[in-house]
Amino acid sequence: MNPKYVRPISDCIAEIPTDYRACMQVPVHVYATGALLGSMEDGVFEQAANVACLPGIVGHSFCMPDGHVGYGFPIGGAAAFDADTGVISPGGIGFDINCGMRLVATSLNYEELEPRMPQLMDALFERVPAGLGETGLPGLTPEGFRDLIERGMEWAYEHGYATEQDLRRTEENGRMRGADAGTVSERAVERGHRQVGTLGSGNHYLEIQVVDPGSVFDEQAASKLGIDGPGQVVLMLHTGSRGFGHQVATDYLQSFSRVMKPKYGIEVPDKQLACAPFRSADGQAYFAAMQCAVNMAFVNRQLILHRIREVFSDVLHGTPQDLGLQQIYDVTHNTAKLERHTVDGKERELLVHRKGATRAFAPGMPGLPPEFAELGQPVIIGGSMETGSYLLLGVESGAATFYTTAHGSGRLMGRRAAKRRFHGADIKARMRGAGIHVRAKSKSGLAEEAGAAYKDIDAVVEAAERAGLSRRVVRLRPVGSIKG
Amino acid sequence: MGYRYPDDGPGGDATIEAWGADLAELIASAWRGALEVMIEDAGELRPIREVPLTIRAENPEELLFAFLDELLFRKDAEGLLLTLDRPEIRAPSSETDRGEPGREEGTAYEARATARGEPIDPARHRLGTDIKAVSFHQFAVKRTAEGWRARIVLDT
Repeated sequence: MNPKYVRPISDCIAEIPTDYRACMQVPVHVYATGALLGSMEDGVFEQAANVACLPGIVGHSFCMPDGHVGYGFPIGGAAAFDADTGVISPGGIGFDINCGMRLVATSLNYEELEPRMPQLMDALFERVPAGLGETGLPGLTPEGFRDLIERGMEWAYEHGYATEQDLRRTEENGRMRGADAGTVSERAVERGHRQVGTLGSGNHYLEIQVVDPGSVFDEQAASKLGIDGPGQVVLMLHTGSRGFGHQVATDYLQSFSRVMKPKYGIEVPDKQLACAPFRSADGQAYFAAMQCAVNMAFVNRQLILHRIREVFSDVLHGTPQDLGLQQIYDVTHNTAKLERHTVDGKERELLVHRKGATRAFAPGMPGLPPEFAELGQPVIIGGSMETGSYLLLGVESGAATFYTTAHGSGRLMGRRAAKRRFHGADIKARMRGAGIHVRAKSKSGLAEEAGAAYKDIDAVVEAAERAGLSRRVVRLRPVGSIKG
Repeated sequence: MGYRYPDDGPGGDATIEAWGADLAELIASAWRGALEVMIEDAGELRPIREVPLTIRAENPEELLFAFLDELLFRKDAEGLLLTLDRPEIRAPSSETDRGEPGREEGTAYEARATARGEPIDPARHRLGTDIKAVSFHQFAVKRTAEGWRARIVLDT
């Protein structure tokens, strides 16, 4: 049962008013329908209320339909701060900076591909570095890594790992220009340079998916995005900046919590909310370091895509062009970005934090690939490995959340509880029975990721659509899953 | 000394409750709890690499945090899974474990330990879930009647 102070103000929005806590500067808006709202822990509301207390927050403290308890900020949380009077907070971005999703089309039909799946899955599992201790680019030096994190996907393009279209179809064209490797610790570089081009473990994955009959919600939009119809095979990637982003976040959380009160007079209700004024030297240094981690994650996903293209070419005997391996889009769901938005009729520069939340720009907004300008921004939302995922588009009414929507299904059950309840081998057999080929480095990791440990992805995207944050274009079903 | 994994932590992460008769035991058992999240047969790790560690911190919280952070760093930067021997800790005062007035900053606690283990080998090790970072979420180190106790949420 939800606390009394969370009161529905429409069929998809519940509000926590500012009188709930003295320090709140704006109300909390939770975007969720009845059942999803009921499944949210009280901690989510407390955390969203804490965020509403941070200096310079504008509009509302938002919680998306997939919101769950995070560190400081909820996961599925978004908050915009005035660029001049507001703060930047590592906890509002997440440890895994630019954790994100990439969706890649193919021209393959699943009926034709199915007999080759075991061979293809083995090859992907063998050659895409995943799990603990794997290395991506063994020859990459710390110096080379510094260059990579400043230039993002442009680095990947120059080194032959990316096409022009890959860059164009990545949020920020795969490079945030304020990245400055000088703001990143030696320790972060040492952790990161071995890990570019690796999938990681936990909830990160590489999936082969298929478009089912009846799962296309807007055929015209789908076709413009590269989804031609039922039977088509696509690929989805979920990973981020690995240990590098974590080190950047840890470094600045520690330094912010030391200087926050003595230097800036800011007090926060939770250490994980440590922040600094955005325009301060501390705030700017973190912003530059965060952008390095954003760029690193874009390149990480790019190198994995490059490896996938090689594997597909080898196994299926065709060039990536022949096989239609074209990127649809790459989105980040853990960032803070400077954006211009209209607030009470006035355009303002805001630093929009999205943690476990995806930017979903409406048609015609700046920064979209020209070919998608009239469609709006593609949004990729990953469900659990047993259920499905979605391709969505941003919409006009998203202005209410500064064009932010959900990012995934959100956990329902803890890892430990899932591991006790499910067994890796059973899940593998069940998934095989459901037509999903699984390759996992860790059996216990597989149990922790069981579909039943997650919220219902269909309910999440439906709530996001009813609330006017994004609209569904295609639902995708997993047929192959590679986990670290 | 020991550790357990309580169920009331954030769902996507590994929450550990660790305890020990003294701070050194607490640190060793907390790391063992973390290690067993990443590898199911931590007892089988061969001590073929030896890593000497010296960690300085202002207080017990920072000391435990720094130990865990350093060992995770070695995992990512050098690809090593390490077991940790009980550290030798030079504390400000064995009576109170609190800082002495007038003590210079940055010298309150100094701990030395040896970590032993081997490079990660997916072919031989039964790997669990990678730990990406130690979070400050609910992070707490407490002195109790029996010794020391800590709660740690690890980001996985």
